[in-house]
Amino acid sequence: MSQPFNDRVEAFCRRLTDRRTDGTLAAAKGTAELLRQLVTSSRLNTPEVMLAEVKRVGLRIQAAKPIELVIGNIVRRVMHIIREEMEAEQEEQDDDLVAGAAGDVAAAGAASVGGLSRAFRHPFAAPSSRTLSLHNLLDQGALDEAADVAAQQHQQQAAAAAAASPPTQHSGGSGRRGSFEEKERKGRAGQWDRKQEVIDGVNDLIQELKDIDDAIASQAVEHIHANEVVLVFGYSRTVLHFLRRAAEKRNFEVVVAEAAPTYQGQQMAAELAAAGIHATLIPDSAIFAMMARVNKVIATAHALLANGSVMAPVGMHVVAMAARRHSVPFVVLCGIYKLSTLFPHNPSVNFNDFRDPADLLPRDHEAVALPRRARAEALLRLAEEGNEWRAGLPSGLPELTVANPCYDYVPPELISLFVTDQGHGFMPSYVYRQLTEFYHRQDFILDKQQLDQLIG
Amino acid sequence: MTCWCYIQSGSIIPPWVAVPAGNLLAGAMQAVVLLLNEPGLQPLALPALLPAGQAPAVEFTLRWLESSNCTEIHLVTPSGTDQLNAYLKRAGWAGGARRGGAAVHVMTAPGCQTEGEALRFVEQKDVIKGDFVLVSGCVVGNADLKPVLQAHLARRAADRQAIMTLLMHGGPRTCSGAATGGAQQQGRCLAVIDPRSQQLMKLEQGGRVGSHGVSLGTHMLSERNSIAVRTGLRLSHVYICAPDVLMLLSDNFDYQSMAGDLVPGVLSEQELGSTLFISELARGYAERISTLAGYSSVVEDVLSRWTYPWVPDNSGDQQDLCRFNRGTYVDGTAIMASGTVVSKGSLIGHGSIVESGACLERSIIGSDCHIGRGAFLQASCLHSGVRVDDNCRVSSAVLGEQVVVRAHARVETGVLLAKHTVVDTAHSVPAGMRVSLIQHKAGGPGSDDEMEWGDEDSAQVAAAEAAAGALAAGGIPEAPLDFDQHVVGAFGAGFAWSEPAATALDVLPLVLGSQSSPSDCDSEVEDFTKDAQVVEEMGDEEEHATGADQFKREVAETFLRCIKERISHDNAVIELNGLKIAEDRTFADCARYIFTTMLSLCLPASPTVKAEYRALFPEGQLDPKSKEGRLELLRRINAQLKSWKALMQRFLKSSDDQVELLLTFEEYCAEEGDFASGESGAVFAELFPQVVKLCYDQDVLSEDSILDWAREKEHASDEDRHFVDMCADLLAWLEDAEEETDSEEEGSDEE
Repeated sequence: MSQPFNDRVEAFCRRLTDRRTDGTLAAAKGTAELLRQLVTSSRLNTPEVMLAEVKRVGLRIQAAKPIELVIGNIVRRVMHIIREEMEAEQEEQDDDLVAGAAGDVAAAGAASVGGLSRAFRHPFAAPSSRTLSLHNLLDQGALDEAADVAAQQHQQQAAAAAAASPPTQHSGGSGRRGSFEEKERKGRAGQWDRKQEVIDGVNDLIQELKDIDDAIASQAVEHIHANEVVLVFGYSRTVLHFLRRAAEKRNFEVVVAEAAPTYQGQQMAAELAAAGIHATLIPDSAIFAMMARVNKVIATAHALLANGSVMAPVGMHVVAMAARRHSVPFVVLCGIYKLSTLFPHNPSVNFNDFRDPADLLPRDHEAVALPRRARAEALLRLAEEGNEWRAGLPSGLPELTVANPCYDYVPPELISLFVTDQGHGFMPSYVYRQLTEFYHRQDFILDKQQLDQLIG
Repeated sequence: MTCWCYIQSGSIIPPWVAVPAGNLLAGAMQAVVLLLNEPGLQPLALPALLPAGQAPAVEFTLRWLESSNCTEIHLVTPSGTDQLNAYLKRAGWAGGARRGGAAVHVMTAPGCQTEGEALRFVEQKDVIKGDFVLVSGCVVGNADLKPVLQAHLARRAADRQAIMTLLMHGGPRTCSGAATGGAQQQGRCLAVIDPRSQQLMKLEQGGRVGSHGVSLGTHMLSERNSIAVRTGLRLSHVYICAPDVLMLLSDNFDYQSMAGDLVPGVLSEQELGSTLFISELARGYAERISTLAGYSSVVEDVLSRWTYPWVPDNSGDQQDLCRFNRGTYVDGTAIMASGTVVSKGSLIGHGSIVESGACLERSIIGSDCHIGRGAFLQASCLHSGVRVDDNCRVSSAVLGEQVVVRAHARVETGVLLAKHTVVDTAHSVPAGMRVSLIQHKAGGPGSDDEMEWGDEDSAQVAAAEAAAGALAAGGIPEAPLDFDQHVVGAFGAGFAWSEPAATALDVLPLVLGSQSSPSDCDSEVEDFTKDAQVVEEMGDEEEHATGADQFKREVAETFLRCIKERISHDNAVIELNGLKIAEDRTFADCARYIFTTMLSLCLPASPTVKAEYRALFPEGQLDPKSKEGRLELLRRINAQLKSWKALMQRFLKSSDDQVELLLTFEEYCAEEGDFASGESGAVFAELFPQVVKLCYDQDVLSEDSILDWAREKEHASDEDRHFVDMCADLLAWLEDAEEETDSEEEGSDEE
């Protein structure tokens, strides 16, 4: 890739690593814009090269901040767009082929393999590009075979026809066995003619990210009813938008938990109050007591995982548990771009971001200095005692660890509803279905090697 | 701040003219990082390349500056340019594989020892075009500099004379008055500021700030209604400077250190109109690596995430798989056998192998290390490629690259092994030792600080490395070198860089120094007794035992009465003087009994003390055998010394008097002579060197007299020399210090 582009990627990575980009949405937007730049680059002539490059750059950005799962999501979305265009192209060409090469090929394929579903399907439709389901599960291998046979026949025909028309990829989406010369020829022929569609697709994705809050907020009136008491936790731009929109039509009350140690709930309460919504600010410790009076919890998420759980700002688990105890619906507002294909047990997900302990305790606080001093003194004493080696420092020394985790895991059974920008709410159990809609199966795990290393 | 753009476009506006505020906020700054040699870290490699966590310290500095909008960073270093450049290239800061972001340039300033010299060098190079951030030393930080930079630039826009902003750490938050660790205690300074504008009017720093009081000129109050005197502030060694600062340094070529010379210089030249400001860091981290203690403290902070987001598990590197789990960092490529014990605050680096039964307690293992079976590491820091064999014990030490510690060896507290050294099987490296393959030349201090070596030296080093390599592999070197066997063992490789630098003595005053209350500024006992002192000693030395005893009791009683009735120093001096004249005694006689009474005041009252004075003695028996007891005792002695040092000084005019005092103290500790009965002097025997050190610190004893005392005892019998031997460390240190102060006045500023 060109140097300026690489520089831009590296600069963005540095910003991510150094925590200079704030929030998931900014990370998602930044990634999407870089990838748009990448796919518009004139060097990516074939869909294969494009996929590989998007994956490579995507993995680089993801590595800069592994905790930010949306980066991987955006990369998968873009790859999905490319794959869809490949499929569409494939289908188109297959149609031409069928029209041109008459029925003998189809007959040959049809004669060699059987299958109920084939009766309803186009014989050249790439099988594995379709979602794996009960309808085509058994056909998988057979169809591949059929495609191969057909491809060979077609190739012979094509050779006989002295390559009058540019040959296409015909071995089916799964194999991508298009021969080298063909790719070469295509490269010489110029740009992939569906490139513009891919760029448009990425543009749509960026637009989706831009409108995300509005799209979610448009459903506000359906979820918030008159005179309800809504509990929110900390600050969230999305939630604020949502409540403001609801307040245009409805009259309701909001209880805001301040969310230590950032205390951004205070800002949230201030902004809600400024928007004319009746807000009550409570400390986190009062959440459980307050829950009895609450009709609904509106929460936000850092990432939505494949099993329907969410990674949420720290403290959300407590809120969800309290809501469950009082049978209060726990609604998560979540742009679909946060939907990740990873499961929480996946080693690249299962960790937290531990932030600066200074949020909790100033470093020059006596409690921080004391253990260190005590240890130094103990070591000195050990040194003075000379040969009297003990197995380590004496027990009972002061010891203080300040942990400032950033995220919480909220299991699916505590979540009542997801409200996304896709115009309808869904339950956690429906998440797997959403996955197949937005991502391609092959992209579910982007970096197999890294994954193996992590498990190994 | 891109004023230099104006210059480049051919404008005639001088570079230091502040540009309008609108530009400033969005703009970026230049930064200068001075990576001078740190004598406190020798013989380790460049301080900038010492690993803190996984990455070298300079990486932290660069990331921090880049995050603070510095787009052009100049590293000034007197040596090691090649290593630095190699690292910068590898890490993508410079060279072909440069990532976006800040541009980093390395400037070699050969022979630069001080901040002043280095900055004059920068000035000559003419690379600084506008206001810039000056970082002196390798500072690891995450404090947000942006608001400070903005405030500085806004101030500059309003007043061109506001040439510098000093970044300071605030004081400790709790008022318990306890020290906040050795490294932090250093560099506390006293600052007089205008509370409203944060303008700095006086800055005092050094070991005993504020103990002599501070004089404030009335001019300070001429323009403002209030001033604030702050004692808890600490320099962070980060300055935001206008280019004028460089010009000032060039004009005053004798300025060496920023805080020590430049700041007082500017403040004393009010008429020039330049003003300095301070900015107190409300939160955020910024610590310099300049001593071994400072280094280990920074490493510990990095591991406890105070430098977030620059922590080992957030390198942003694709290849880096360091994970943070329950307080320990383990790299994905590291191999740990089952049965290893790794405590919180440990790190196991890339590709390292830890064998079964090894125990790591708050230790950091760099990349590609090998820790043998049953090895035990405690609060240690291992750089890359270190091999620690089976059943070794390493405690609170720093092991440089490729160091080999062979089976059953021990490395004791405070040891520093520079790269490629080898410790022989079952050898024990004594505490506080610094070992290197390079032989430390005992030449002038100038050559001391140079890590560079000439051609013949490099050949020597190559030979040493070859020998060390052979020894590390368990063989015998072809050309055996005369390594210091008492340090590294018969088949070890390494020379002692310096003898154990009396770590105990170094640390103790730090621990004790915390007790200084800001109120003991009452050293203003002048004039009053001058005439009394002119009455000189009639020193006939013969004493009758009974007379001596009586005089001793008299002095003690007078002294106690003075304390009890809170008689002022001056009057106490008069009373004691009167006693002296009446009994026809010397000053030393008075001093010695005052001193012993003072010491006895640190212990619970003995039965011989009169009931009326018992209240003066502390309650509760101390256990002088335990560490706590001893520390507490030292603390009390320190407090006593502090409050009575003025009095002592009155009676210890000459060096002879002071030697006399030391002899008395010996007697007192040994419970012989005058003190044979009823005194619990033996308690202090164990603390003899520490107490002498305290006296030295409080200026009660001068270094000359301590050395004289030692010399006097030189030919005494072994028994007599007992206490002198105890003080061997202190004496060596004093001798060193003397040489240093003789040859180089600068030393204290750099510490």
